[in-house]
Amino acid sequence: MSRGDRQFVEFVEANSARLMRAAHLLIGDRHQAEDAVQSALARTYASWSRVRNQDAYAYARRVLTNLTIDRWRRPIKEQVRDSFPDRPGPRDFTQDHAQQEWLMRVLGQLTPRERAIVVLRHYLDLSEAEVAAELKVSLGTVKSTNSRALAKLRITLSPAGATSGEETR
Amino acid sequence: MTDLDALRSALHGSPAESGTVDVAAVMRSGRRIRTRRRLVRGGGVVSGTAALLVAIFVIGQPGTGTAPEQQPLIEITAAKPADPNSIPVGNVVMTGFDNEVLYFVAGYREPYENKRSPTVATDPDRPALPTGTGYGLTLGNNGVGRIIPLQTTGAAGRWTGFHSITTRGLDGTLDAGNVGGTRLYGYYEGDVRRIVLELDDEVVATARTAKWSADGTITIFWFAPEDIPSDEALHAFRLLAYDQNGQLMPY
Repeated sequence: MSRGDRQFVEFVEANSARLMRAAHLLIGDRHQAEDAVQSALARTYASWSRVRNQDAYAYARRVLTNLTIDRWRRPIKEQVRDSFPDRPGPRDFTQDHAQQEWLMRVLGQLTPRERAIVVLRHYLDLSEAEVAAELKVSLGTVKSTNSRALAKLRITLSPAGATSGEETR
Repeated sequence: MTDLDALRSALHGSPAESGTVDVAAVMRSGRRIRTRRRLVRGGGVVSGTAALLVAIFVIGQPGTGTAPEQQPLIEITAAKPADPNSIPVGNVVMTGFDNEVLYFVAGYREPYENKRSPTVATDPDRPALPTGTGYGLTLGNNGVGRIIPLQTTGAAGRWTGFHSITTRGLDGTLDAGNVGGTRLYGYYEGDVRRIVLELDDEVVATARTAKWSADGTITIFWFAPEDIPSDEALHAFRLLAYDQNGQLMPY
């Protein structure tokens, strides 16, 4: 195995879990998420000689995002409702699986665009500007969509939360 | 803990099961992609030279222009079976592939929704919007000494940008007889000089182009079928148009 291939294997071992988690959060289906990560990593490997000395993780993440968000690139009319859906059911954080069930349920209430922005912003911890660049939308779109998504989830920002969650880094 | 903290905690929580990555399979797939890209880049020069049946404009390099804020992925316009009695308007463009030709036909009727003005739609019994070209882009085959129309895409309104981006080979109803890979074609309105197909921020193919003789602002474009990797999701690609100065033009 060449040095580059060894580096790629190490890269996959170090980052695949996080990419898999991101894909699952973006897509909501574990099997489709696995396929998306496999495809993203394959494309990353195809460009490995170019990206390995740069930010390979950012490249793989960008490819993964492009693979998963194309649904809302298509001319799908998102339904903007005046009213928000009912508040999600009671949360049980005493067990991880209950927390994850709650998470997938509430993410399922979001449009693909809202979901992508929430995941990129609050899971992958990208700044609003980075999310805008990643999704090739305006900063204003990121801000408004993020706010709408959090409102749908009935998430209110405390001053501390606003500082940590809403600032543009 | 605020609600946002709770959301972030859940996002960063550990799912009950986590998928696995088959690294060997990933590397095999990656090698195929890499090989295909090299073939596309290398073959593009040769096939591009051979396809001088039409004008090919290669001015400027992709990436030198200022990228717009949003460059969408490809939006495919569904084609319909062509009217067998339709007559070409203007030049008939030889694609150089499988005896296929591209041309416009008059009187094409299809209700369509203008993506730039979603509230405007044509009456299905009328030819087209008055602001549109009024013509349908048709893919035909002249392998038997006469043109056999295959499929037509409705002409939309007029604006600088891509129109009628269409495939043949992905839609099962139009798949019969498709040979040698996925078709991807359409037309661009505006003074475009170079149209490329991009995957993962890399140019994988350059379109063949020809001006429509009936309207010089219209450029018909198409790609060599072998330039469109069949095992890649077409909607993961981006179409980019560049002007004579290498500046990126509207989608």
